[in-house]
Amino acid sequence: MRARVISNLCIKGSYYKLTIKPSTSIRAIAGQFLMIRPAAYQAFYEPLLPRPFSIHRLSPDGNLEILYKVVGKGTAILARCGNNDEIDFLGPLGNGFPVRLTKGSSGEILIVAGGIGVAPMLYLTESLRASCPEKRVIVFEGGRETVDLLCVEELKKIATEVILATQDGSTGIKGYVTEALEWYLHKRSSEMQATVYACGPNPMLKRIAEIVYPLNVDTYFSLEATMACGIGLCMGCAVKRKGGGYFLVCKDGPVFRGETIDFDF
Amino acid sequence: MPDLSIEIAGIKLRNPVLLASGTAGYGEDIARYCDLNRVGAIITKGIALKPTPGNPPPRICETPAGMLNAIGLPNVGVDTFIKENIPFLKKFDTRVIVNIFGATVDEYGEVAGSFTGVEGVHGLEVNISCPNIKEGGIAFGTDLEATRRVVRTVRRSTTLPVIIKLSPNVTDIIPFAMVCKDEGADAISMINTLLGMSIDTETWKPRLANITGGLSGPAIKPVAVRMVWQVYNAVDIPIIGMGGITTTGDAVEFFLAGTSAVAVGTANFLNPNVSIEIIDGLGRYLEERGIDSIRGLIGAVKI
Repeated sequence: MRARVISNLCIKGSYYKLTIKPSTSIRAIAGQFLMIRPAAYQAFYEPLLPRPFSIHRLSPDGNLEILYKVVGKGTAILARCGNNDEIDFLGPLGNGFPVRLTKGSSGEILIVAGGIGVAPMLYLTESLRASCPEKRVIVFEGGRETVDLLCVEELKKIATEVILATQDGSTGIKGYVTEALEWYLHKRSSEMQATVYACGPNPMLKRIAEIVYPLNVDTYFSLEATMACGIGLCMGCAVKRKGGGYFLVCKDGPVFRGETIDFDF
Repeated sequence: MPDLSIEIAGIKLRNPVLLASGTAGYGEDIARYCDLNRVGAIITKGIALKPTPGNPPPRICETPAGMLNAIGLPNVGVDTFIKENIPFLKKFDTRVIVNIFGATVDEYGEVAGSFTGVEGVHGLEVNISCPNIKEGGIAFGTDLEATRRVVRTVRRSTTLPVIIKLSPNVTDIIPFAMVCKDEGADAISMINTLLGMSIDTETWKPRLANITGGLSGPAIKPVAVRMVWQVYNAVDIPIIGMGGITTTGDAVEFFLAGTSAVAVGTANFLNPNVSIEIIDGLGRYLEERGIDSIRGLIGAVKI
């Protein structure tokens, strides 16, 4: 599918927000992703492969927003796209986060975002607020330093509480976002139910799985993997499945129940 | 309209554009983006006797105008494939060529034999060239005598058309093509991926868990075209050409070098409908030049 760039702006540091208008209207749920390739560069095969990006937000006028960090060749080229440039994309792809939780469960919703892993979490927070208005929604957001904390003001408007953590201590708790989560979970009763939604680097997800293992907590992790196609053809985006074998992040995910993933790879 | 139909290895194709093995799965996933009724044939992802899980991640990385992969041939096993995947493919008005591999010569024969009498299978492509699995694959495709034994065994095990997929990781590919012909293969497909490696300069680690992988994409096209041209001029056996085909022009190059059909591989990852665009493009290419059949291009390079 084709889309046109509405804007592609540096928010701060190496973080950008891309807004595109698809040629036909798109419906998507939080946690789904797009495979994106800027049209102008395709003849040069730079980059050769499209890149996966989670959908940051769908705007009311039908635009798609992508929040991304420039980390390599693909994102550097994407950052060079200007207004009205054409983008080829596939999507929305993947399963997305489940947002209709068991009715009447007393648990809270805990959303954990590490670095650019916050990209799908604003839309997720909005969706959960709409589907479970009676529940408390606590967002934990972590980054290396203050510049790595995105969407903080927007999250504060919709979440019950936003807890921030930076490794250099420049904002919020000094340390990893998983330490903030651990601290929060320990001060409540271990019997209390909760649902944790997380997106971020694999070591963060692995640590969350360890922390919640003895507790009465459901986990939904959005995983990231290098992928060539996004639709199950290349089989490149394998992650280890607990008990043997592999999942494909594009087709079986990108959202998985935490206990089904073997992070020791 | 120019005639795009072609017969290769006794298989009648409505057009000469195929989906390459390992880039179109068993058809289900690509069918949502690409009309399988329109492609010449689909060559399915490699099938072995027993299910295999594939290699640990990372399995792929991008390289200049190409990619390295070490997927490691995950497969559902021949029984499940026949029971669950062939019925899906039978719904389409296309040709189905099943790619097979084995860990031993006998296993190649056994997998090939499993498809005897299976409705909806039109031919077998024998993978003796996968660079990413310890047993089988490239160990056969880079050794002339092993190639001979595999082709002979498969030929005796099936009456289906047999296509041998050759490895480019040899000094001279012509003797391998000759062995295939001598042992009764109906066609060859070439080339499989080129063995490659990439290292992360931050971590000093290989970018694939398998350390080495197979290079594919536009980067390998000149190597493939050269090898096709060499084999076309030396051995009388039909060739299905592949290696970096991404555009109509790429496909035309392969026909001029001597292939009777082409397969689109890595380009399916960029655009899962690209094979249809190439089919339409070939029709236009011939029409614009007043050429009435795709056969007019085969081996027509002017030297």
